[in-house]
Amino acid sequence: MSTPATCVRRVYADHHSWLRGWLQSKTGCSNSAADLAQDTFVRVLVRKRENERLDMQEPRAYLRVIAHGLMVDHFRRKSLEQAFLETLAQQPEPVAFSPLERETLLETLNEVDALLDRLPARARRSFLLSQLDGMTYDEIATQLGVSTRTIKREMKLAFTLLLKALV
Amino acid sequence: MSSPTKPSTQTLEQAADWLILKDNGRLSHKQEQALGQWRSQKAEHEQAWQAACRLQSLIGRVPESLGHQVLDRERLDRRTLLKVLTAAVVMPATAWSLTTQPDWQRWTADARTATGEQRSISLPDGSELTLNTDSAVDINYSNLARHIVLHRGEIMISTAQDTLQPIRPFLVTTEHGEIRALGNQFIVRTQLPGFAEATAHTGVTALHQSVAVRPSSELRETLVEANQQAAFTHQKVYPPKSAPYSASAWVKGQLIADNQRLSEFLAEVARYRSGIIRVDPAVADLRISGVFQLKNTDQILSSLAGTLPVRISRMTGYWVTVTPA
Repeated sequence: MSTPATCVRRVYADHHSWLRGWLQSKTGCSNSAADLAQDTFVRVLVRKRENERLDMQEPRAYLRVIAHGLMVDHFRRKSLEQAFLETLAQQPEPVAFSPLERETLLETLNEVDALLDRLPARARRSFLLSQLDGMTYDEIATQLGVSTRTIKREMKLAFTLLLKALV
Repeated sequence: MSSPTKPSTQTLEQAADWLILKDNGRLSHKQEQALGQWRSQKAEHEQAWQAACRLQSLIGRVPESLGHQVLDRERLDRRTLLKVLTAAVVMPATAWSLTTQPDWQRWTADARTATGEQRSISLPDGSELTLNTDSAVDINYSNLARHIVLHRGEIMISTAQDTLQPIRPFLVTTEHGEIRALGNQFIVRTQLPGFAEATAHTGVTALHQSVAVRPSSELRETLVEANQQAAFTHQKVYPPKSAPYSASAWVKGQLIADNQRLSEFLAEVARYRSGIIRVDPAVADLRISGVFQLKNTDQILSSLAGTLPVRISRMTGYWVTVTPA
């Protein structure tokens, strides 16, 4: 029996350049492709440690699934950062952060953003209006032109999905 | 760390109900007690409640208005993104091409300039790309990014607010790494004067706002602040310096020298003309200041003889030597 590490090493040797090429064809950027390929193998190694019996019968299909998840995350993060900057630029008063504050804030936003990405659009909006802006469910219902009962249902969905991701 | 058995969906829904009750206003004493009871009833209840506390503390750290705007931006849903990623194969393009499909847009082109030529190009989102002399770029616009690849030469980018939602990052990559626009105007060029002459590098000048630079073998970005310039190789970023006023003069067709060494000045002039300019070491350290028109480099060379103790000799049009007068 081979250890997980040697098994992953073999998969790496056989499929790394293929994966990198595949990622490059998807992202159109060789730097992102190299980073994402690396992250994919790190992820595989961690999963392999957690679960000995990970099925590596179809390594390429498996790598594609993991790489795709990372790619989606990568672009979500970039779009978040861009929105962050454009929002900063739109502030009526200039906002200044130290590099550390900026990093911390972006990290928090990114964490919340990844969570919110799991929610349907309307549940996400209700959630933001209620939890960030402090609006009551009645106020949200009026603003979105739906019943309070609907908002309550959306909130229950939002909370349940978010908790599921956090436990 | 999460324990091997995760709380059931039913438990999570119950926790959600408690959170909704709390949103409704302060819990009464009786409700507080009931919540306490529910939490101690089963381990998975407490586990779900801990997750609820983590959620609330996380949300508590997000600044209200800025957070709302950033987090409520429009998103591509994951299925759409999957389609985009499946479809976005980079094709080498020899001419402008625009492909529009119902749910994604892709636009690729390449552009180059000859020696002495400058050209401005309007990009699909309203951003503006200006190529300096002897430059080559690929332009790749997709649903995911606005992406320029600089192969050689120098470009200035003036970004516009993106027309697509979610807003796409604006990236310039070179063989040394990636530059991400954080503001609206910056210049990228291969080999920036004043930085590591002997080492191949990419130089970037941030004009009004900062840019983020990431060498290709690094994971972290380095910020180059407004009015600074920096150079980077695929491994590292050299410490930024303040950008000279002259850095963007070429966009207006000008070459500005401010107490510049003659050899450096002539190296700049040489970029805009074919052939070779040779500088005698005896005059290389003379200093020159002035504003010159790039359209006519012959005239720039001729005017030197009037202001500095140098002689300009032309063997042929392509071979110019600058020697002591």
